[in-house]
Amino acid sequence: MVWWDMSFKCGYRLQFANGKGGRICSTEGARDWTDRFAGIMELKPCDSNDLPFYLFYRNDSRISETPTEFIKDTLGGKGLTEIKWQPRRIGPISIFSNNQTSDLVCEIGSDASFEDSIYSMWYSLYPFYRHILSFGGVPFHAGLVEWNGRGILFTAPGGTGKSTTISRLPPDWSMHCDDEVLIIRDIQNRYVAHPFPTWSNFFLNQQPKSWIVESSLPISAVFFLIQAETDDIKPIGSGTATVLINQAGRQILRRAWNLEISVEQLELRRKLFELSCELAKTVPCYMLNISLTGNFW
Amino acid sequence: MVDLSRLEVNPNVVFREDFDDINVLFNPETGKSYSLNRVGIVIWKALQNKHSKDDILAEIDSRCKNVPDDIEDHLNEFVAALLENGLVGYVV
Repeated sequence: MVWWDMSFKCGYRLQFANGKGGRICSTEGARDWTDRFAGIMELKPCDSNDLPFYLFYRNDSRISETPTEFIKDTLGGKGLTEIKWQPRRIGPISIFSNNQTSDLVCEIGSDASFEDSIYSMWYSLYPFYRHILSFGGVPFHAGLVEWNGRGILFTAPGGTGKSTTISRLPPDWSMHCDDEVLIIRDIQNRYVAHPFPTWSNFFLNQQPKSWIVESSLPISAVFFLIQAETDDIKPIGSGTATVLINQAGRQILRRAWNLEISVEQLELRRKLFELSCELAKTVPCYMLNISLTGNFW
Repeated sequence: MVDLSRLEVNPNVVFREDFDDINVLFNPETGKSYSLNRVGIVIWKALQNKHSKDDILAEIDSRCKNVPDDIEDHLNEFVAALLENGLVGYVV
């Protein structure tokens, strides 16, 4: 058996409600990293070969792996270094993509500390988001709460009190996540939200925690939180909602967007804006003013 | 004084007027969005069609009520704001 054999054939499944997604696979050197990554997102072993692969390998001072054999076997003898694999540096990781398949290869470097490891996991979701964006998915800075089977999104700029608000909801409101969701249309064409980890929590508190990322809830409403003197709730029009949804999407994606804007980035930004328009016209949106001493609590 | 003769709208900017509350200009280069009132829309569309300043002033006069005497100053101010935010630019 060669070193990569079992890892890439099995892997973990990360599939969304529209059927898109991928197989999280790894080389031996990156196995502990992908096991932890999959554990945080509660991913199940993959039983399908139909999904594109997302292969992680390690390249640092301790282990240097280049999965050339794997790439050649999978893609008909065309190796990682050939021109059709386009490398891109995103934070601490390097992503290799090509224009013939949806497969991705990700080089994770040194993650000497726990924080380094979490940091690279956080960044490694960007190619997924980018891929899903082309299929109509919107990464969104928001908390997802379930009430009577309905998905409710609470969003606000950092520091406004989104997590605090969600944590203080009554017991019959169930929190699925408090920071990041992926919004897509499912196979019934409904808007649904998938919960994603609060990666920053790991930096503050290294206690094990996980999120069921493959689960999703139909979205009934989006609330934009504002700190105010008095409690109030107002429906907002689709233009205002578009601007706010677009901002909440950018809050997730901008960590991987370079200061220098490429043609591709412009296209992605326009795509995000257009998707925000569609979402704003379909899902009811509200401005939720919350005071420190009002009835909301 | 703003020279409109060499001015063009930024081709990357997205303009949407199909919402139920506001009209939106989105500049993907900066990520910023702007709301336009009805007069702003008249001016924006005229700039898209490369109208001259006189044409734009005539357009405003024919389509708007209670146009102030200093409308040209308002137009210059508006176009200067569009320039400052990268929504329009000069053709080099």
